[in-house]
Amino acid sequence: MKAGLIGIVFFVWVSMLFGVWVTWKFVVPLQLPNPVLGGVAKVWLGAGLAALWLWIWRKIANTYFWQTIKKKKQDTVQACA
Amino acid sequence: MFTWLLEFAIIFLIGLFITFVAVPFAVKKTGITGVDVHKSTKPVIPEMGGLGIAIGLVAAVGVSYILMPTAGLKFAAFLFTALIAGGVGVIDDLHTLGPRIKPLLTAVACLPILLLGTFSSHPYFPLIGRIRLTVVYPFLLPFAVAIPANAVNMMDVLNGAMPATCSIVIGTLLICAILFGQHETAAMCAALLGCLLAFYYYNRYPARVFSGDVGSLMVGASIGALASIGRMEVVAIVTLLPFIMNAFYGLTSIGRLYERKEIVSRPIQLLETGQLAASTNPNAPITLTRIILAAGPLREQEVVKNFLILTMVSSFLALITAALILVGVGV
Repeated sequence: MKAGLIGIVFFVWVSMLFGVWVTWKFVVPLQLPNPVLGGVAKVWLGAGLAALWLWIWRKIANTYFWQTIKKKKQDTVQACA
Repeated sequence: MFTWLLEFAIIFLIGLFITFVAVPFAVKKTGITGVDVHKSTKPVIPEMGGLGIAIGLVAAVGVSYILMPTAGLKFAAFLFTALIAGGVGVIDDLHTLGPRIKPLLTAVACLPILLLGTFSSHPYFPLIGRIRLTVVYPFLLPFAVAIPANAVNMMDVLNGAMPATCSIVIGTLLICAILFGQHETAAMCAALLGCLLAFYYYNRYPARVFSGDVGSLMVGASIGALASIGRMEVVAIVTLLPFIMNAFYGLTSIGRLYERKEIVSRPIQLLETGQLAASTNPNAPITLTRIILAAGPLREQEVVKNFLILTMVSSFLALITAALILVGVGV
């Protein structure tokens, strides 16, 4: 368990720092001719990045959980055989 | 520096001693009990031991004010935030609040910080430094209190898990507060750490006292308050990652806010051997405990040990984050 879950924690941390850096470097300085439109675009891009981060995070955790359950079942079947 | 450390030690010891004495007194007075569902004998355990933490916290923060009178506003904001969240917990312990009402009420606990103006709208970010969020920050403050409060509440499922993991989190915040030169915040961390370690004595496996929602919501809201007052928002998010993971997985697998009691398909099962096992029911919420148990059944103490390892890892990453913040700020 430990290595897999620690890996997820590490991934979440690294991707969070990377996301903050990308937002600061590319989203915040974004300039559009219309300042209101620029503001809305920044909020949408920031929210989109956060949603993508959460989606990847959830996908990894779900996959890890069901793969571990599957592997455990296979091991039990093999042990019984 | 020596004077600061001496003050932190005094505040820590006051929190430790008063909570140690207050917990048995508090549970005797309230008389509320709960069943320890993760034991085959299903023992009945006194609940609302969190009231003892509240008494210890009031005493320790009171001593902090005597030692550092210039930080009175910060101490008041911290203490009232904790007590309001604790009050919400008392209501929830006596008459179960709905899954939507509880987060809303805990969000109200941020009002003392907001009204006393003890926050800075320029939080620190790693590698970047200070970011100006003058307009947005006050709107984020309710989340800064409600999210940790409810995340800690959701983690309080096994004997000793809440006080042990939260002690690591608060210990990390204490180190970061000292590194950031936030001595008043460090004093508040020392107060809460003392209270939690004393409570751990009663809550550790096999638990003799449960904290109740009064304890878990109060401790979680206090961590949120420490993060906002001490400008350690990002550090607190990183150190709280196992708690956030647990809440996030649970919420996304159910698809809405939920109350533990309303879950029909339980995420974990108690085996005849006394071990805990992950449920394979696809409708059960995917909690951190269930993920840990996916690899095979474990004893309750072993699951808590896994919680501790994960919290230590996230706290180590939080310390690296704090170092990156200091680099960004140019200290």
